[in-house]
Amino acid sequence: MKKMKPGTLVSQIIIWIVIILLTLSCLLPLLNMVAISLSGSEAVAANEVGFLPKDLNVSAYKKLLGDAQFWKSTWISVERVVLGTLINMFFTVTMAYPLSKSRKRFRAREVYMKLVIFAMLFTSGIIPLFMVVSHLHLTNTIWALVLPGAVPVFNVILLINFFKGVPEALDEAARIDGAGPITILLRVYLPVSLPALATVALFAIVGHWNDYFSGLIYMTKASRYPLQTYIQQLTVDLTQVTDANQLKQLAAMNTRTFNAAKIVVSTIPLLLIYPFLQKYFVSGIVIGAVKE
Amino acid sequence: MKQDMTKSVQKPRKKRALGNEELFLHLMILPGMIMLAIFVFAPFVGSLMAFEKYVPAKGILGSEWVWFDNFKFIFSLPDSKQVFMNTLIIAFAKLILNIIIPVTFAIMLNEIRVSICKRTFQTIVYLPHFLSWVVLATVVSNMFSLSGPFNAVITALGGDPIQFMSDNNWFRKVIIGTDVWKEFGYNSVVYLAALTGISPDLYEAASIDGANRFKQTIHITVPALLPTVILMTALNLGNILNAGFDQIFNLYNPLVYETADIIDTYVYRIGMVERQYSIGAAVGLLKSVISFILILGANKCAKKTTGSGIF
Amino acid sequence: MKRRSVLIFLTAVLSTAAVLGGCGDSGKNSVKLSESEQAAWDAAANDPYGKYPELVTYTCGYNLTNQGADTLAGTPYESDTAENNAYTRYLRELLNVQNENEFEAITGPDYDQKVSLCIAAQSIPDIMYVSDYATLVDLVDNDLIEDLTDVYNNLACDTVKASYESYGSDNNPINTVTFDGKIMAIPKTQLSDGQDFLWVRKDWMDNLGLEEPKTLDDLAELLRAFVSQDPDGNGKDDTVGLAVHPEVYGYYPNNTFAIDNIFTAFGAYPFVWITDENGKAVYGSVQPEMKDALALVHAWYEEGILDREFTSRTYDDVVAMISSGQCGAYIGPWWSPFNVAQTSTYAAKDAEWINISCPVGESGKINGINTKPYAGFVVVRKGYEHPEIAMKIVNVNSEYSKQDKSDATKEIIENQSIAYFNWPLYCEVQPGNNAEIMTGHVQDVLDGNADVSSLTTEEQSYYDAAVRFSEAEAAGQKAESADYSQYMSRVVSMKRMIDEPADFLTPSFFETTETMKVKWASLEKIEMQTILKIIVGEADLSSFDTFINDWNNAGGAEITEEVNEAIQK
Repeated sequence: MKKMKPGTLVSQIIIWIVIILLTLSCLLPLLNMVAISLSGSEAVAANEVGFLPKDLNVSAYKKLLGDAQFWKSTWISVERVVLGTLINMFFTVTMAYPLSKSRKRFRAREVYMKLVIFAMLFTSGIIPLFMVVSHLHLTNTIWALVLPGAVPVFNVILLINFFKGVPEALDEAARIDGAGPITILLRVYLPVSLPALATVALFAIVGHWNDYFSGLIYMTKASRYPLQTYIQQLTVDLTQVTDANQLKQLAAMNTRTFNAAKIVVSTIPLLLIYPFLQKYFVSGIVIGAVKE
Repeated sequence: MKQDMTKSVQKPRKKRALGNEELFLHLMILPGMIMLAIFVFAPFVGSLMAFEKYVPAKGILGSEWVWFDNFKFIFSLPDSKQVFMNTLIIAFAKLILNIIIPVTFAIMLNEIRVSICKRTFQTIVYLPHFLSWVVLATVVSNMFSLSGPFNAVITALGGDPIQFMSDNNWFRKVIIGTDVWKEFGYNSVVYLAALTGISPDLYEAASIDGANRFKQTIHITVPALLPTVILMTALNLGNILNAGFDQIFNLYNPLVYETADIIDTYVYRIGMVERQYSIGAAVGLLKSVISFILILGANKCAKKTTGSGIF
Repeated sequence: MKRRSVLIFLTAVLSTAAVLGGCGDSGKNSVKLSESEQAAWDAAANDPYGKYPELVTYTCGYNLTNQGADTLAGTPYESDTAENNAYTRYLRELLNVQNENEFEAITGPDYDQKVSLCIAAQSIPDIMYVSDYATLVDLVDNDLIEDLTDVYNNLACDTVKASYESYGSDNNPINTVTFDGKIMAIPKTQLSDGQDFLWVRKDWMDNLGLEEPKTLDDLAELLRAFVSQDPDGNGKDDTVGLAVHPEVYGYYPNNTFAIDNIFTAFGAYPFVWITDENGKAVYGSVQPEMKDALALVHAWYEEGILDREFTSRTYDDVVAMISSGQCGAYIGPWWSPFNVAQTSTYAAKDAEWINISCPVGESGKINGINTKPYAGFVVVRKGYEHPEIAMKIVNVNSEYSKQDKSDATKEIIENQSIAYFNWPLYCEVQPGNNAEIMTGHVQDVLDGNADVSSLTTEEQSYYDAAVRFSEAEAAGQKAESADYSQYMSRVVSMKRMIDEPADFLTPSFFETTETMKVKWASLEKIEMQTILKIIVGEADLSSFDTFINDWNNAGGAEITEEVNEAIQK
C-alpha cells in the first residue's frame, strides 16, 4: 500500500471508528438474541440476559432441531427459495431486457412500462388473490408460494436501469459481429450486469426466505408451512387468554428462549448466502473494464 | 452451439432487423406480462370492494354497492388529517434518511481496503433487517426505558431522564432513528453494487491530477451514485404512505397517538372492532393512486433534470 | 368396447366423487342401502353417542394452538398430526368419524382469516368453528349454514343442555344463536372467569410485617411500603409499586395487570355497557364515577406507588419487570399462577404469591364484571348430510370424554398437557362456574371427604398436580412449574374465589352495532388518550368532561342510541 498523507490517515481512522460503531450496534441485538437462546428461562423472563448466556442451556436448540416439522418446513423453504429465485430471475431478466431498450427500438415499451409501474403500486387485497390461487388449484402446493410473486416488479425496474447503463457501443459491436438478440443478452448484457444480478438475486432470495404471509394464506395445513410461517406461528403472542381452557398453553408460555433459538437458526442461512453473493459486488472489475 | 445460433439468425436480417427485434422483444416480455395479468391485474378487480359494503358470504359481485361512501368515511374521521400528516412526516423522514445514511455508509465502507473486514462489516450490518419488529420492540423499549443506556448517559451528563417511548417530542424520532438503524445495512446493498460500476481508471486519473480521497469522493463517487440514488428515491416514493406498520404497532401507546398514529395503525384498529375489508381496500386504493401520481411525477422531474427518466 | 365402458364408468365415478367431494363421505349414498343398513345409519344419527356403521369423514376447520406440534417432539405423540392424534383416534373409535381438515390455523386472527377466506371462496367445510358473532350473522343471512334445531333438540346430551341453562334464561347462549326461532349454531360456552384479585408477594409482606390489605387505602399503604421500605432486602431502592397494563383496563378479567378493580371499587365500570338507574344502557367509560377513580390513579402515579413507566411498557416488559423481582403487586385473574411472572419468581426468587380480595367496593366485596356467556360457535355447512356429527362431537367434548376413565382419555389428557391442540372441533359446553365445581371436587378429596375415584379425568390431573406440589415442597424442593401453576390456581386461588365471592355486574350489551363498526376505533382512541393523559398528569382531571362531550359528538351518542335499540329487540 502506498504511503498515506496525514489527512487521509485521519479520515481513515474516522471511517474505521464510525463503521465499527455502526457494525457493533447491529451486532449487539443479535448477540443478545443468541445469548437469550442459550439461557435459562427464568433469567430470560427477568430480562437479565445481556450479551452472554446466563444459566447456559441448550435445550431450546435440542427441542427445535429435534422437531420433525422444523426440518420439513426448512425443506419447503429451501425448495421455495431455489425454485422461486430461479423463476424470479427468469422473469426479471426477460422483462428488464426489452424494457431497457429505447422507445425507438421497442415501440410498445411505454405501454408495457406503465403496466409494470401499475403492477408495482396497485395490489389487490388478500381475498381476491386467494381466490385466483385457489381457482387455479395451487393452494397447498409450492407453486402458491412462487407463482403469485413470480415477477418481482421492483427488481425488474432496478435491472432495467442497470441494463440501460450498458454502453450502447457494446450492443452495436455485438450486432455488427452478427449476434442475435439472445446472444447479445447472454453474452453481453448478463456478464456485465453480474453485480446487479447478484443484488436482485439477493433480494429475491431474502424475499422468499423471509416471507411468512403467503405460507399462512395459501397453505391450509400446518405441515405444509415454510419455515418462516412455522416460526411466526410459534411467536404469536398470547397476551390475552380468553378462557380457562387455554390455561394449558399458558403453562408452556415462556417461549422467549425458544423463539430466540428459532430466530437464530432461521437467520443462519442468510448469513451463509450473503458472502457468496457479496463477491459479485465487492470487486468492481467486470463492469469497470467494460465502461469506457 | 452458440455459434450455430448466431449464424442462423445473422443472415436473413438486414433491412427488417428492427421489426424482427421488436417481435422478439414482444415475445420475450410476454410470459412476464401473462404472470402479471393472472396474479396482479386479474385479482385487482377485487379492489372493487372499495366501492362496496363487502361481505365475504355475498362475494365481490353480490355485495351491496355504496360507491364512494367508504372514501367519504375515511375523510370524515375526526383524526384523518392528523393520521395522514403523521404518516407523511414519518414516511418522508424515513425516505430521506434511508437514502442518505445507506449511501454514506456504502461510500465509507468502500474506503475500507482490508477486504476481510469490509466483507465482515457488510455482512453484519445487513442482519438487523431480518429481525422482525415484534422481536426488536423489546430491545428498543429497553434501550429507551428510564433505566436504559440512553437515559443513563443523559443522567450522567446531568440531564433529566426522558420517557422516550411515551413522549410526543421524542417518539417519532425514536421511530425514525431505529428504522434507519435497522435498514441501513440492507439498503446499502444497492449502492455497493452501484459502486462496483465505477471504473478504477477514473480514480487513478484523479489521483494523478492530485485530487485527494475526499475530493475524489465528491467528484467521482457521488456523481456516479446519483442515478441509483434518484432511482431509489423515486421507487421509494411509492411507499410514502407506508410509514411502517409493524414497527409503530409494536412500539406505540395511546399517549403518542398524536404524533405516531399512522394510516395503517388506524385502519388496523378499525378492523379490530370488526374486519372492514371495504375500508381496507379503499385505503389501499387511495394509497396506490397517490403513489402512482407521485412516481409518475418523479419520473417527469427526473427526465427534465437529468435528461433520462427512471423508467 | 370394453375399454369404452370402463372409461364411462370411470368418468361417472369421478364426477360423482367430484360432486360429493366437498361432502367428505363420498360414495355411500350412491349405493342403495338395505333396510337394516339404513336402520343402523338412522340409529347412529339419532343417538347422542351412536357409532356409525361405516367411517364417516367430515371436513372441518381446525384450531391449532401456538404450541403446535413442536412441543410434542420426543414424546410418544411425536408423530401425531391434526388429523391423527389421541383425540381424533378417540372420536373415530367412539363414533366412527374422522376429520379431514380443510384448513388449520392458530386460534385467533389467523384462524379467523382462514374462515373468511373460505367463506369468500364459497367453500366452507362441513363443520367449523367461527369465533365471532358477525361472521355467524353473515352465514345465517346468506343461507350458508344448516338449521340445527332438530339436531340440538334430539341429540344434545344432558350436560350440554344443563350447562346452557345454568347461564339463566336471559343469558342462555342458545338465545344468541336462535334466528327466527331456529337454532343455527352450537355455541361454545365462555366460563365465568370470576373476579380479578390483587396478587401480592407474601414473602415481601412478611419481610415488612404487613397485613393483608382490603380497601383502596390499605392497598396504597402496602404499595407505599413496597416502594420505600426495600421489601426484597437488597439494600437498593429499586422496587416498583403496582404493575399496570399499558391498556389500563378492559377485557375483564382476562387482561392480566389491568387495573379494572380500582375503577370498579369506585362503582365505575369502564369499557363495558352498563344499565343506568333509568334502565337505559350507557357506556361505562363516560360515567361520572370514572372521575374519582382517575383522580386516585393519577395521585398514585404522581406518588410513584404505581409503575411510572407503565405507558411505555409492553405486556412482555411488565412480565419481565415482575420476573426480575422488581415488583411484588399486580391485579390479575385466578389463573395468574400460570403466568411466567409467577412461575419464574417462584422458581428463581423464592417468591410466594397470594391472591387477596382487594380493593373492595362499598359492599366490602370486589366488584367484578361478568363476561359474555359464549365464546364462538360451531356451524354446519348447508346441505351437509350428517349435521348431527357436530352435536355428537360437542357431546363427547363436554360430557363423554370427561366421564370416561378409559386409558384413551388418560392419553388425551396427557397429550393435552403437552400440547393442547388435539380437538378437531374447538367447542366445549360447560356450566359457567365449571372451574369452581371442579375445584370443589378436588378439595373434597384433598380434605379426605371423598375418594379419588370420584374425580373426572381432568379433575384427577389437578389432584395429581396438587399432590406432586405438596410432596416437592415437603421435601424442601421447588415443584415443577406446571405443578405450581396447577396447584396454586386450581386449588389455592380458586378456593379464595369460592370463599370470598364478588359482586358481579353483567354488562347490558356485548355485540357490535352498525355505527360502532366504523366509529369505535376513533372513540377508543379519544378514550385511551384522555385516560392516559389524566393518569400521567399531561391533562387535567377536568379534561374528562371535555372528553365526554367529544365522545358523544364523535358518534358515542349515536352508538348509545343503537345499543338501546338493539337491547329493546
